[in-house]
Amino acid sequence: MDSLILYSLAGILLFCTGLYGVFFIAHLLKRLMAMNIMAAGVFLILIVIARRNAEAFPDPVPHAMLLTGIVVAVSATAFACAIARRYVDITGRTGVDEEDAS
Amino acid sequence: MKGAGKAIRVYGLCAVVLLAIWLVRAVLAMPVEPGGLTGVVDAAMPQSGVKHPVTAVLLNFRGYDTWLELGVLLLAAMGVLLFQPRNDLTAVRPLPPFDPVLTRAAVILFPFAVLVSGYLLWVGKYAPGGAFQAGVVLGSVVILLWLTGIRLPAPLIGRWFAPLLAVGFASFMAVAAVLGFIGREFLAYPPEQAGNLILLIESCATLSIAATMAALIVGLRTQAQHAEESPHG
Repeated sequence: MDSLILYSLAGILLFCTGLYGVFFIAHLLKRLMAMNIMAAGVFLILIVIARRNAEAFPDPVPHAMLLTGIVVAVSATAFACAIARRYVDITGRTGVDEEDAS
Repeated sequence: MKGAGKAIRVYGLCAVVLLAIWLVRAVLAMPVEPGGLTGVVDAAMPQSGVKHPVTAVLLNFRGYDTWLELGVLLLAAMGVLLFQPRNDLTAVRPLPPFDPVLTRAAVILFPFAVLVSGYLLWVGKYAPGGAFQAGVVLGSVVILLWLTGIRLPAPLIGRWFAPLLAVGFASFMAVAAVLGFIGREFLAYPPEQAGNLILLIESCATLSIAATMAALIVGLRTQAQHAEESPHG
């Protein structure tokens, strides 16, 4: 049980680190990575929920949600990369903030 | 200007820390529900047509989610291809071969990866596996071949590429339509046919997922190539 709490806390740490990054990092690629770190935190907490509710086998419903979530995260990241690439081509800037456009 | 930005960052950091504390309290207070939905899934397993609970949830009990998930994949691939000169991969030039060992290794690995992909697809009925794992393995070997400079078969990345992208989503929809015609509820498989229907959908989904992965990675790289050649086009 203790290790599950540790995993939950790690998940929260990842989520909050990512959340801060999503709002306060201007560089597009870093912001995308922050988004993915945030998602990893959520996935970790879902795994913990599946595990702590385990009986004969871990709760399969959070597992299925998690699989869906990973796929959506990957495809959203790829699409965001394509948009970011286009943004860089058009504006020549890598960030959304004028100050940090380096 | 710079000072104001810094103040906002400090406030933001404080807000995130407060949120973290709140979340820690919430997680620690979260009651353990013995079993969760395990019992419900376990009771319905005989009707699911498969032996592995996660596959049963993914392809049967919550098939609707997975169907729309394939829709998300399709949309993402379409989104990435929108930034391309063409809506398939025929405009993609293979990378110049740079490492003969890697090229040889990719050729040797290819049949094994196809085999592993097929196995993962099949084993999803009994154990962790299924369309997503199988599709990712298949997609990765396609990307590996492309990275080593091997030209992929023209029809596969040309005329048949869009159908390949869509077949997973379409197979789910076709199954749902057929079930509708024979008077069943939306995506409620008849238990005796559920296993076969799931295998059919998963096979189609594997192809779509592999094609989508290839489209996402290869498409992004091609976009970069074009940008390097014509920075303002």
